[in-house]
Amino acid sequence: TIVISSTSCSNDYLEEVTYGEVSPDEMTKPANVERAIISAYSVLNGQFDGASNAYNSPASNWSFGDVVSDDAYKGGGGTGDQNNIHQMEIFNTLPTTIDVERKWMALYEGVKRVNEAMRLLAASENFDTNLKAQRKAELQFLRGHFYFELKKIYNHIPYIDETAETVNDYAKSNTEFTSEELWGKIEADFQAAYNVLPVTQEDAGRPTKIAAKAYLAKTYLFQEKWQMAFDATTEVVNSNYGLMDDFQELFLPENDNNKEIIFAVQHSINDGQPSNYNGSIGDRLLAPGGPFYSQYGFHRPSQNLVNAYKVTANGLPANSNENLKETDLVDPRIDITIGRPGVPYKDLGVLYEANWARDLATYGEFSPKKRIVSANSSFHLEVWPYVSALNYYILRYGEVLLWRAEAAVEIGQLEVARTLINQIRNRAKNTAYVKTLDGSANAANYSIELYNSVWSNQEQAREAVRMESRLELALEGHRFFNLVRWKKADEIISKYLEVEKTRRTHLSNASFIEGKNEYWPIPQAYIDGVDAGLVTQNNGY
Amino acid sequence: GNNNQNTFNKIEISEKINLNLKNSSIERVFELIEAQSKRRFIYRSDQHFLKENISININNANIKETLTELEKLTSLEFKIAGDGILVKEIVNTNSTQQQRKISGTIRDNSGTPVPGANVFVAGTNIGTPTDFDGNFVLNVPIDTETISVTFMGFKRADIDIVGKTEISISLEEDTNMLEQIVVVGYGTEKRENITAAISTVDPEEIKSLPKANVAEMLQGRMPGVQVMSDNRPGGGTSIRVRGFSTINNNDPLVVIDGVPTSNGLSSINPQDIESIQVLKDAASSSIYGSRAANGVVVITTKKGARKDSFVVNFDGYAGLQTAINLPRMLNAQQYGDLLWQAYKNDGQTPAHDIYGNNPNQAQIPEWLNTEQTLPSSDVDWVAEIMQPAFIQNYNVSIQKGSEKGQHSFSLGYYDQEGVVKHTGFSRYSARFNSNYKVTDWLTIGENFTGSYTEEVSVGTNSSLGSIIYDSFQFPSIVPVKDLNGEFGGNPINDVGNPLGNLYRAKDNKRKNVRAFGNAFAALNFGDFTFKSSFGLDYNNFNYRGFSPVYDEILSQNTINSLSTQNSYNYQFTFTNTLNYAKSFGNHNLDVLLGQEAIEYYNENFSASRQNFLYEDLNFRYLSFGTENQLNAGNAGEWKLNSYFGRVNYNFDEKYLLTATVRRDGTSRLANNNWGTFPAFSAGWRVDKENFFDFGNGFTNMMIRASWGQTGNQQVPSYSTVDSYSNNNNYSDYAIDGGQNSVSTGLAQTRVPNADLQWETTTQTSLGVDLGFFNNKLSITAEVYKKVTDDILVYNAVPLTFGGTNDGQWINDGSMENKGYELNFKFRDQKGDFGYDLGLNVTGYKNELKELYSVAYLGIPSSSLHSVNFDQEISRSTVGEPIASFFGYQAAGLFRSQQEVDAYGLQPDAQPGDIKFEDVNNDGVIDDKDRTFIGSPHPDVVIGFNVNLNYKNFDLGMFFNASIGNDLYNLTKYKTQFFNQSAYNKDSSLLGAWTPANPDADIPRLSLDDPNNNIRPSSYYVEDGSYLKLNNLQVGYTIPASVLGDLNLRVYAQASNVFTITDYSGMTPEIGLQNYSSSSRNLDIGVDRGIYPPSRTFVFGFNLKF
Repeated sequence: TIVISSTSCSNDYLEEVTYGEVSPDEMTKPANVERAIISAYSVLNGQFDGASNAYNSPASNWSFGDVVSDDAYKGGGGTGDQNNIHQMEIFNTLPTTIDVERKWMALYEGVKRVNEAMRLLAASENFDTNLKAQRKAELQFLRGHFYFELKKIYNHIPYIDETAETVNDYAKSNTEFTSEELWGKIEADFQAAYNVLPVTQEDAGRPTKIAAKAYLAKTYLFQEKWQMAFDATTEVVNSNYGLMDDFQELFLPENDNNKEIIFAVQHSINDGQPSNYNGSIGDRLLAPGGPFYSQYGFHRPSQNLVNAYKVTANGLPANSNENLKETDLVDPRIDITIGRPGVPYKDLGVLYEANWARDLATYGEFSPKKRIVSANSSFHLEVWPYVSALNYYILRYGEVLLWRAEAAVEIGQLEVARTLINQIRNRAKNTAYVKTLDGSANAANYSIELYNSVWSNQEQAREAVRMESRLELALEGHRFFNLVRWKKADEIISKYLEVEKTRRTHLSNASFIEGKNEYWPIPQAYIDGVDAGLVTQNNGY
Repeated sequence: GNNNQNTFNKIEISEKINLNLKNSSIERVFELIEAQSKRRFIYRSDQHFLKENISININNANIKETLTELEKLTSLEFKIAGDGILVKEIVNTNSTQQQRKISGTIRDNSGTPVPGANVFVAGTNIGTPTDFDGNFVLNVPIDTETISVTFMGFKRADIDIVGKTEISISLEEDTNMLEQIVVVGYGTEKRENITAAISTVDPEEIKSLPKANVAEMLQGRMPGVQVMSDNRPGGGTSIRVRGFSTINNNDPLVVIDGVPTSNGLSSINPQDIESIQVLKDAASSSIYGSRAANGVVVITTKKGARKDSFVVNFDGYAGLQTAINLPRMLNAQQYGDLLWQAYKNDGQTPAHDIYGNNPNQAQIPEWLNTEQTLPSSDVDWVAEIMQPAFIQNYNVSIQKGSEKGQHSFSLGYYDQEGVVKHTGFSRYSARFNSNYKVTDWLTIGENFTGSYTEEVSVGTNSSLGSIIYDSFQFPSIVPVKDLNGEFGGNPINDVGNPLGNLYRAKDNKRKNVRAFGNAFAALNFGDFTFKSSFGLDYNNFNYRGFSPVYDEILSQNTINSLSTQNSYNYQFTFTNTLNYAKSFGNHNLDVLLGQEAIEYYNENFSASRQNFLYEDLNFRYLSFGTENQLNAGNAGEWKLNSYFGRVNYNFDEKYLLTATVRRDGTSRLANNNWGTFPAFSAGWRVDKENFFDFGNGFTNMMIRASWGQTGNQQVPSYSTVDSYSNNNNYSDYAIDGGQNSVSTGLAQTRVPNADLQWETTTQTSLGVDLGFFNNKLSITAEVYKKVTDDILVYNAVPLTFGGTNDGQWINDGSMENKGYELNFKFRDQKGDFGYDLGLNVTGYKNELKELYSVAYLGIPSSSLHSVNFDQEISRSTVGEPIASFFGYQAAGLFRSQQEVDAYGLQPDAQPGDIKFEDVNNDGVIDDKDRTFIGSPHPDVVIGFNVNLNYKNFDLGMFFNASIGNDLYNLTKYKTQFFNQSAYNKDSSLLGAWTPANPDADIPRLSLDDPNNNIRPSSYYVEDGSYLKLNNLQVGYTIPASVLGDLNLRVYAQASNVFTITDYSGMTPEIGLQNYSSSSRNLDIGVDRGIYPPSRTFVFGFNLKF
């Protein structure tokens, strides 16, 4: 023992003292377990390291859900600006594309943090028993979300849960589970969360029982389990959640946990984080330019989307892809969703002008508007990285109504669907329309009416519901995934490209390949980083 | 110069000498008499009698009595000459051999007689010292053709005596290479006894180079030592010794006056440097153990003179630097024209926000904004941000001393404006070195330097944030200033006005205060010396960076802000060594034992605020910002504790052996604190063998070999520690829905590896030193093999482990460097004309031999964006050198549609697009066709030095060359491809492919780039070989007769005189992406717009009195 003590004595000098780090044995204390759980929530916004390019892994999926759809172009300073996203836009995505890799990392970081927090929670002896079950349910909800995102983007994915202990436990095959089994695991997490979560949460950022149910509904929807989806939405529509009265106010940061919001990524700015990485950091390139905003100019509404807002004389979607004219009747949601020349932009007291748009020649004159926060708002950051505190809505009541309508159509309850869609349209109709600068008149010829006549068949109902989905959810990052889910991606995108190419030359070489481009490739870095043969690349890549 | 001009006053013989010694070497006896008598024995230092042991007992004797007694005990004769004592060995010459007498006088080059010089016949023990008047008489065998003369501080002279009986010899001043004392780890060694691979450079040769950092001055000077620099004033440099031995940290350890440094060399005044050694092989470096795997740079600073009167040196130079070889970007009209060409190539109708809608012609409008404050212009932005820049350096040093104590004091001032406007570096430094022989057995002393540096720098060689690259991209059409006197705004792309950015940052100074030095005490008792040294390296850094409000259309800053950073670090080094040196007849033994403890601590503080009411300099302090107060602070530390030993043994200085071992304990490796690093080397001085008799033609030969191990533990502190921590970048969350507040989260700090251990480099080295023509020509040749095992790798974790901690430090794989080094030196004097030539040639082959954890290593994705626009262009993998370029193989341009169709693999291609090779022959061009497309490592690196002198004139030229390395010209990414249409382009695009210019090598211009010409490919890779006249210097020494005691030399110098290269960028000397990131060695030779090298002309002087 003397020898040992003398050795340890000389080693005392070499003992490492860390600064500001909490040792693993401290981590099972309840307060620290809570903090580990916070860090699992933290990665919801796509910011998982110190890098400034969270736009490659955006929570809002502006690139993954909109730019690759018929709703938006990449934008920015030419096709070479974030050329990786341009390559995605023209469906030349590669397994080495940075976004493919960063998005994957962000989502699996979420998975890992959930798993870690679950292990700490389980090991925590002093944690309040009831709360412990609830926190576990929250973590399962989060994990369900991260895997849902992974599933819809990458399709065949490795599944790792909290039984993984070492780094090597995370090197898993992406074919270990079938697609059905993966959905089953995601369902299981949401179901478990549903079973335990309370109906209301003190913290706005935590999921409720209804949120779990809504996500469960979405999971069924993606599997075309229509009856189950319909049933699951029943509890949601009958819950305390409901539609916000005004469509525009729905997207004000001061309302970003309103009754319509079932689950959202909580954003915060000027909170002491020097780079404001807790804000809408994944969307930091979306600022529309002009006199009030930085001009990154990404996420630009397509002409096709603009045209989609054209309505017929009876206030219903015109389904025309002819370029919108000033005199055309339009759905009032267009000027809440899209920045158009000649229309006042937010509450800034100025008209949006074509020259706000960056690289007008390539990407046209339109800018995003719906999820852009007024430059007058204190929740908009005037300095780099020009983000806002507006939450990103992962689940909102309006969307659940649309799902329910879809499910209703598929199970043949067309009238139920019509009522639901009218609920959505009615809210839009009763929204305060965008006015001219002097407030004397509507800024455009707005018109929106309900579907007053019975839908004649399922196909017509389906079309109407899907169109409503597009108009209501535009630029919220859902469009592409819905197209894929509807098995319409090839048809709609190919048709879109055919026409849009003649308008916007950056799409000249875009072509959608059916059976391939519905999903992104497995990142090459994952394939290279694990044993050869463990991972099977997605079809076509 | 002449250092023997002391007047030989007759000194009263009054000293009292006491000696009581048993079995002490004559050398030791001499030392003791010297100490008591203030006289100096004059003798050849290599004579054998010095090692003979005698016993002597003298009480209160004067010097004459002492010498008489000594003459009885030895075979020596003494003669008192001034305060010197000439020593002559009585030689029993073979009386049977026929002899002849030769006599003469030895003088130095100013004609003063040299007493005490050794005149001898090489290879025999026949010799004599010169007397007081420099005269000698020597009996030599009748057939002797040459006699030799040596004297400390002078070149050896070999004189033909055939047919002569009396000769007059003029000695040339020199620090003879072999007699040179070389500083090795924890001690010194005579050059001729060194069995390891150590390169030295004479500081006199480089000290007047107009560079801030001594590391930059070393470029090309030593075989096997590569220096890479980012060219900015006071900027980053990296030294690479014998290639790249690992993935992570390849920087050598730098030791100054025995103290390892943590804060680099840019705050050290090069003029203070007495000697620079680079320990290249394991035999020499392993005494530094765990930090020596990348070699060790050992620097000593100038000590006091052993001279009563002051020695004053005053040196200075001043001159002008200009940026050279700047690229030409398109002018305003050319840009518009090519933009139109690109539209038309894509089959589109040209239209542009600024250049108008005329499909036939791009038109320059009168105004660039609707307010008509921004007139169109035509600016060469690259030239616009450059300036001829002033550089000056002054240094004064005073040295004084006696046998009892020496001091050296110096002050230095260095000031360099950047050739990029509003950048620069200046340094103020002071040094005081002293040592005192308090008693016979105790010496104490200190070396201390304090410095203050100030730097205004800009980012370079990074794809984002490089001001140089910005100037490539900024539209020519934008004026420098608008009508309101503001910097011209950019209506075309998001790059800020480069001059505006420089101007706004001009007061954002990085300020460093550094204190560096050590205090030591040495105890002598008998054959033992105990030395204890306490070293300090302290650095304090301060930065206040202000961002004013500006509006440059697409680039703006709407709120001003200030960020302040303060940090300091210190390193304590406590070193204790015990030395034992003893000779037993021909056996010479030198043993060293030591212990060393090092402790490093750093602490950082930073804070920022926004919205300052005024932007004046006196408002640029935190308290005056009104909003958004933020702050941050952290700390870190590491420690080392080490034990080491060395045994030097030689027999008759003919057979030499050295063994060293170091045992290091580190705080960085939790479960593997301790590592042991042994080394052995052996040398054979063949020229000391009797059979070695080649006359004057072949005079010196030493063969040496070494083997040893060194370590590397340069992983970030705490890499073995599992912990959780808060990081407000990515672990907090507004869980309660707050808009301006978050809850604190804890995330895993890192992926720890408790079992991490040292990486070990095993190096085998073989060398030979040759001297010809009385060592006029010396050649050193070495070959080595360096194998690094258990390489410390930041290994990417599986991508399913998330992205916060994207890797883990592990020991993985091995790397090999095989190389050779040749060094030739030739010097001669023909009458008034003297010249010396130096040539060094280095070649190495680096190869990653094994890698287990992953298929390849590259820059992590978290930094790939800012460094490379997310382009993966380098990979390090088994079988290839580190940081090999990786991408598609470009095979020229398609010249016709038929070619495209015939090739068939690139359906989107058109004539003028790049053809990419189907490397794996699977009929598709895809990711799998990427391959290795070049290596940044040169085949051969050459340094060539010519010094000529004629009478009082001297001329020096230094060339360096690199052959066979490739460069990846990433600047093309934005300056050659029109899918980055908003950014200005290189003028070479005027020669891009068009149907009318079908033979062009530059691909057709396209906004859409359907063929993805821009992808990483060998199109970007160019041959980076070059030959450069690095330095040219002409000097004139004003004869002593003119200025009396003043010794004045004036010179003119030009740097970067010319470069011969095929590389299309500004300079082929690219180096690393930056000099601080951990992945910097994974990406070498990638040009992203480096700070341009400058051509510098300076005039200077060296004054000594």
